[in-house]
Amino acid sequence: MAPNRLIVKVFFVLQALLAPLPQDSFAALDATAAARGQGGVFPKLRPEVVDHACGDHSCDMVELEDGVLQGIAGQEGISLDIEVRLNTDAVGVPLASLSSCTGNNNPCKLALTFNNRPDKWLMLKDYYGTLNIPKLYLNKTNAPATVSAYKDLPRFQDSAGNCLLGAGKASACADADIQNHPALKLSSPGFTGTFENDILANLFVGRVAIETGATGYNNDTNGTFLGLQLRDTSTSAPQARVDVDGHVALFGF
Amino acid sequence: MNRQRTPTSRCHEPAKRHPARQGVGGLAAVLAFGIPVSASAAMGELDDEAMSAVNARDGIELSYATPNAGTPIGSVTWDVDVGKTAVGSVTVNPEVFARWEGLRIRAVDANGALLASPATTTLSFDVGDNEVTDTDNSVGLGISGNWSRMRLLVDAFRQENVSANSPGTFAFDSAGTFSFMNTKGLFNDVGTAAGFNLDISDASLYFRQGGSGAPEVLFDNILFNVGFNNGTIGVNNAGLRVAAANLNFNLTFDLRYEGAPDAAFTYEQGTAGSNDRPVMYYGWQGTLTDFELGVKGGGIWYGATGSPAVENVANRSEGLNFSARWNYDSTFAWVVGESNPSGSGNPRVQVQFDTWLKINNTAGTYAFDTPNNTLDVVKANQSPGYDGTAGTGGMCWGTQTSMTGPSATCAGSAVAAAPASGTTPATPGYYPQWLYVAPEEGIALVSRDAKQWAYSNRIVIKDDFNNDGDYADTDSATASDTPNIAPSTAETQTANFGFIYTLGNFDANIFFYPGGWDFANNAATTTGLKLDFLIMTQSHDGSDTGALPDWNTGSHYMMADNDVDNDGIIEANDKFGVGFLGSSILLAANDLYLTLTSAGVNFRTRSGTTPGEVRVQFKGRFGGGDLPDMASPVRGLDINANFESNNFQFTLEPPASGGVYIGFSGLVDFVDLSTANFAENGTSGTSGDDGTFIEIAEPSRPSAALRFANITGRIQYTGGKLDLVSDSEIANQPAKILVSSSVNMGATAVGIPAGGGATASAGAPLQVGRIEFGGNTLGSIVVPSGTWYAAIGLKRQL
Repeated sequence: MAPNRLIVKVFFVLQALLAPLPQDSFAALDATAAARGQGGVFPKLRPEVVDHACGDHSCDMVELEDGVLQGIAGQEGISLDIEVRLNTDAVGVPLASLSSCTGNNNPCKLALTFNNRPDKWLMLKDYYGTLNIPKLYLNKTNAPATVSAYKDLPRFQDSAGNCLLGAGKASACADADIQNHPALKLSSPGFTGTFENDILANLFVGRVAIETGATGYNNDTNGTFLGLQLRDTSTSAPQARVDVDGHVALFGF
Repeated sequence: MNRQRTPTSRCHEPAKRHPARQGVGGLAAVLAFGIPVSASAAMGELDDEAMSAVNARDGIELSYATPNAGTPIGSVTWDVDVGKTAVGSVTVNPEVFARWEGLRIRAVDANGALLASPATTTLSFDVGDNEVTDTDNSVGLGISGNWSRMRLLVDAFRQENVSANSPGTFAFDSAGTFSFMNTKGLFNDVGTAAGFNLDISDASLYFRQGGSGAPEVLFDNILFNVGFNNGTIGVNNAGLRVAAANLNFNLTFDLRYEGAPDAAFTYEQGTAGSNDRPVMYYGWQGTLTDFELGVKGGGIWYGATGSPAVENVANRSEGLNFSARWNYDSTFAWVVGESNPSGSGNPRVQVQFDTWLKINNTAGTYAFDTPNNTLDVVKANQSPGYDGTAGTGGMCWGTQTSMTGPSATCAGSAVAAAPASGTTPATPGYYPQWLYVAPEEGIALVSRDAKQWAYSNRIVIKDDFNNDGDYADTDSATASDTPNIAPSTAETQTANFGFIYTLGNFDANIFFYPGGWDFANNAATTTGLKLDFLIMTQSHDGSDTGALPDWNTGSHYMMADNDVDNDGIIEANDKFGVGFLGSSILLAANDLYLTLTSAGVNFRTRSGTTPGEVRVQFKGRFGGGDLPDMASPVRGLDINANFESNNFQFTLEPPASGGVYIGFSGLVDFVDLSTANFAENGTSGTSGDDGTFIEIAEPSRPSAALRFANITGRIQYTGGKLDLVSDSEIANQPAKILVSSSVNMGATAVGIPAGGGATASAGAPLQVGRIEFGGNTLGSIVVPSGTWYAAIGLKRQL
């Protein structure tokens, strides 16, 4: 089914991020973060980088010639920085104009209702947060010239088994369809041995409750059953920090 | 202020007379007007000194000087279609006139202050030949002239049948020179012996709505130069034709705003405490190649032709139309920057987009081509394609075979009709809809099939770190320009990425009406400007299926990385673009007012019981691929977003004192409009009518769509900024383009409702009526109140 394929695609992206993560990475990163007094709130997502030219063997570093050095310029690619605040000021403090997101029926609320459950609202109350991605790099990449043993060609086919890659065709996908296939590369700068603040985020949801009525989203009468906070408790800055290494390749089809 | 900037274009060299023809003519005459002559003046002898100053003069020179207090011109009337009762086979009475009133000319100084001295113009005629290009030494005529700095004031602009109304008052201050020469006849259109040059230096264009003290918008420091040698300026059966293999073009200006003017039509840049605020610097500089301009008689067209019927563009009334096309020389640049708030020197920071590449190299195509632009005065209902029945004459949105249509259907379209409720069409967003906005009596500016099939392939960032007026690194005796702020390395930096904005096929019906609106009292006012428009740039040209955007003829909005491997060398197969492919954009408005307020330039729909309406739609595919031909596109997501409002407010704001950026604020009440042939899918409540919606779909399976449909409620954006942030403004970051705004939602968005009046009220909750996935409704979201903020910056990877 088509919706399932969308889910599969999202999963594929996540898999690209997570699958190569060594099992011992979390522990090692936590130790590194702890050594820096960073608390290890978030694991570092570190895909293992395999240098195909060297295979599993170590490669020796070689000196660069002067000519090569002269050709090195700053990265020329595109970088985005993104900042989003929900009901907060620039440093993550809830806005006074919104009653600081406290008190009965304060303005910091968001309501969800679900199909076939009319007039029943799942309310997020007293919520605020921030998201900051200071450097999101956009580049191009290609799938490897040779498919790996982990290829999953049916992922790129429709429910009738036809390949959707490229211009599409009325047959199943073959190795050639995915080899060298272009993709958008999303990444953050930095190195695997260094903790960079690639994503900064905090979220506070003071109360989660159910309200009823056609305009139940205007009510604040029922009790809460959940609260949520996402932040870095080891520093005075409220934002949790995430270091992202490796990259995400986005294939469209 | 006469800021001195050096145009990058090469100056035109005036045609030289052939030495053998020196002395041809030998007639010298000087006519002087407006200079008082004493009745008792008598002829006197010239002394030796005066005699020695007399030398031979060729040609004829006319000069004119105004009185010290200036000269009134009165009015200029543009009357078209006098006595006509039909245009071709269409029975229509298109006769109507527009009039510019209260024209005056007077000398002014560089800052706009009136001078008690004459403003002068000189016009010279001379005979010779163009020794540079004219091999047969044909006799030619040259005309040159100049004018001293003077103001052309236009008090009012009025329509024949709404003569009490005017958009406001214009003042244009300028000084300049021009020259023009041609052989074998002044307007000989054969050969390439013509030369032309026009230089307007330090010009200023003021506009205000109301009397002295009303807010003023100012296009300032206008430098305009256009010139060529070896070209053609001629008249033939089609009209005036101007052509040149290489044409130097330079137009730059600063946009400024005074919400509370210090003085009327004056310029106080850099003056302490002044309300004169710089907003931005903008321009185009360089050389256009294969340039052609055609200016012809003929206004709005009427009726239909062919089968399937399309508007009959050949059946024109009286008016003016022009066409233009060109390619870009590699030197050509589009520049955007921040005006220097100090009042002198170059912009503090500017971004230059140059090195243009065509996306379509088919023979006969141009980087820019606009074949049909028409200016006319129209009566009510007389939209292009009008066949004599009110409500005819409109444009097709989303069709694949006909970009415009004369009637209520987009004839000949091969795609399916609008989708059923809750579903998406086989090719999302590509079903056609006939759109129409009824014109009132006013000025019509109409364009068809304009194309910008090229994009800038390089960005040069010029950042005057030490504010010494240039972008060089080592020229100061006291300090180096070289910044010490990592990671910057130079005042002029080149980034090997580009900014792609192409226009696949651009069509527009834009109508301007004099007369404003009192929003507090819901009443018309005599001074102001009202707009109706349908503007669309689409990607399909009649040959594509909508399944895959056509790179060669489409509208694309992307960022281009021209050095994927980051080795600092631009190579083949080393370029990649990411952004929106095959896009189509619709801007539609009915009764939208442009008002100069103390806060800024305000665009706002009419309030009251019949409020104005605005619709904006974007359709495109987020993805990317290899440049320059996008041979292997990454097909990411298809996006189709439609916004409808009957309470649209948007204000372009000058910066706070000391700042330089474009500010903006506004308020939008999202509604599901029901106006036929304007709103998405027509009447409210019928199948497929989702009002305001955002849809994200799979390119290969459009039915797999995530859809936020039937969005209603209010958002209000405040403190918005579009800012070019210099390297030196934020440590350890490269220069960037930053867009940011706070957004109040629902009840937090307090403002004047669509009904108008002076009392602000809380907005309706921002509500996503249906969240759909694959055609199934999942639920809905309501944001009753709150304040969000978003900022996105674009910069180099450093």
